[in-house]
Amino acid sequence: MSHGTNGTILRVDLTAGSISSESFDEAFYRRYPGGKALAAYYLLREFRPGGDPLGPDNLLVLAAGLLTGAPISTATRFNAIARSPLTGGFGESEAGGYWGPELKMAGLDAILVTGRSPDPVYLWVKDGTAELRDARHLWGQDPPAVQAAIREELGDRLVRVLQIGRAGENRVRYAMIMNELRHYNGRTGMGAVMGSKNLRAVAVRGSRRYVDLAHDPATLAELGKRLAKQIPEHPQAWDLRTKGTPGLTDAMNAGGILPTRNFRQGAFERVDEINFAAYLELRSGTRSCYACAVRCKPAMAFSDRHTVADTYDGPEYEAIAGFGSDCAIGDLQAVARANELCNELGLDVISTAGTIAFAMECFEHGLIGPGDTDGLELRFGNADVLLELVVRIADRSGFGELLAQGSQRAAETIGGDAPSFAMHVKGQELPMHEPRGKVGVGLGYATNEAGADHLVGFHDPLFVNPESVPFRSVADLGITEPTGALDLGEKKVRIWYTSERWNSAEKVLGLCFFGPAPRSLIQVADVLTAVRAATGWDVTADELLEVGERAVNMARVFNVREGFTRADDRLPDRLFTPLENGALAGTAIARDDFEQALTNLYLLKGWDPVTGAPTEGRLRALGLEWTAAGAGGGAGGGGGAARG
Amino acid sequence: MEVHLGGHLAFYDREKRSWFEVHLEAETALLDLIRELGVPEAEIAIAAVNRTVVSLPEARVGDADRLDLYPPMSGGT
Repeated sequence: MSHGTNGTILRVDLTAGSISSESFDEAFYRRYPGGKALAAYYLLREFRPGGDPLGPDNLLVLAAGLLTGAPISTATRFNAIARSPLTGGFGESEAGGYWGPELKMAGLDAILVTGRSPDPVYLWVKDGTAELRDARHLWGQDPPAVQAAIREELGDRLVRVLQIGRAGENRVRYAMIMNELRHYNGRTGMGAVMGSKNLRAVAVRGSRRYVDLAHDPATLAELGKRLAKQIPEHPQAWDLRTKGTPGLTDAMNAGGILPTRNFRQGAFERVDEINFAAYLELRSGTRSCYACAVRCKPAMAFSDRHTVADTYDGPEYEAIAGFGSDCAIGDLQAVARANELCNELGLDVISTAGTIAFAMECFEHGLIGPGDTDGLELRFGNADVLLELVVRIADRSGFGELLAQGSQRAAETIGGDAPSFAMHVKGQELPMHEPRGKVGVGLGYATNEAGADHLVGFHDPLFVNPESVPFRSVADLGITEPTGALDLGEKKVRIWYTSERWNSAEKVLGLCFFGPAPRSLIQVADVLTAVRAATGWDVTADELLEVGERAVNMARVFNVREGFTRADDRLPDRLFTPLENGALAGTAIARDDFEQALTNLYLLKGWDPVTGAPTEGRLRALGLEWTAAGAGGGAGGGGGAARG
Repeated sequence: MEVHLGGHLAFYDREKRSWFEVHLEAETALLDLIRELGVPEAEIAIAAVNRTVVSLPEARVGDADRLDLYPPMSGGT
């Protein structure tokens, strides 16, 4: 018997209205232990290359990580994976909260959804059994009403509800999925995929306990207790709980890397109106994810110039910088309201803000005018227009229809210089981390298969000082040489290669990036203890790095099949031009250095430096030779998965 | 002088304060002040005096200055 897993996935064909389950064996599980790896396996095996991301053939996989639901802090994450309607490539997004752990407790490791229901439905999963239920009465309703109605219908107020909002129903290309209203699979448009299937929600309830799945429940429980005691005393955990991500705003501005006016600038003259002190005046508390001692989630409620209710997650740093400095809006109340609207409507905050900032710059340059924007004066700093546009995007009404396609497609439609204002990679808008001050993050933006994403690897400033807590915590991963935040040499590439594999492993294990090294609330040795106790495997850090690398390579193969090449691993041209202001004014990424770093990274990864595709040798070394056969993955496919 | 300890640097203040004032009798080396405050030097990524980034080993500060200290910045949700 495998430990740490239920060994079971659920298949849902919404066209046929059929549900079945399937089991996998331990050999398969050790290679694809959960989360990103498990989901990518099925997507590669079963998605027909070239299939419409918003068509019935797209395969949406909701997969818990290996440790998701374990009684240890940060083991809360699950993945939503499908072909992305925003990028056309590998789509993925992770979320914490309570839904992933509940899935595990309900006896499942993943749910595979294909087809399209003729009418809106929701899926109800309870302790391994599942049924599709009518959701016509829920379509078009706000998320709190949908959650309440489902719990009422099922007669259980503890049912965990994952759902989309209006943007997902309307197939906005960057619509998100939410669970328990406060946790979001934000990126790459997974909510649009769910909406295209007429699947409004997935409700889950389970009665298992993770420790009962574990090989060594006592050790796992002991580790959980020790971490719960240690974490509140850790400086960075204290920071996350006391300040949270909004505490970043001042530091980013001081360092000259607070994206401002669509990444033209690195410092915002009205930062004091959106910074941590301003945030503290509006924050009403903090919340936690399942069994997590960090407790970093912001809660916010106020009624003043704008009104925000404590229904969704309060604004994180990404929303504050995205709607604040990047749209040049020095009004945290308006920013918080924009964040709330995104959550209520089911939009990814990062892509929504990035697309609006892009449109503002187009307007400022006269590429579009009031005649195009329904009369809206779409200038930087116009908070009223910002709030109006968020709603129009979700409803795809008026000018919102164009912006609902994302900045890349909108730029192509607008034409002229507009593409140079679209700050995206592979069609996905940049998060609020400035690669001109964190060049390794730029490498991640460029190479990530899902497009620009700030959680692909470690951020450069953590590796400058060898005496710092973050640096010392990654020695167990083989990172021992410090390097500058702006260095793009071989040391940085090696650090990046390790950090990408480690972060990918966290996506497989279901751990939040706020826990393990280099955050160092949880040491590498603790992660190994957790996996060993859960599975009984004598796992090493190298094996986990390989698990992470395998998942990255599956995503890369998926993109290669869809026609992506090295030419798609590129940053917006703006990042190779100097920042206009702030502490790094005049700083740009040197294009030749960046291209050389890309080549060096490909060589480390075992990828062809010309095409950016994994070599057969590397795929074979990772046990992924079956993916080299192309569409459908060929025969054999990693073995062990069987129809149940 | 006004002191702001950004991010987790405030954890090292005995009262875990992010903002507070200290009185300096005379201009002093920034590193000496930081040691007096109990903030580990290795955890400081950015020091700004009067909102201008300065070199930690070289900077000096006086009672009329404003000091902002920040740890290395990573990413979040």
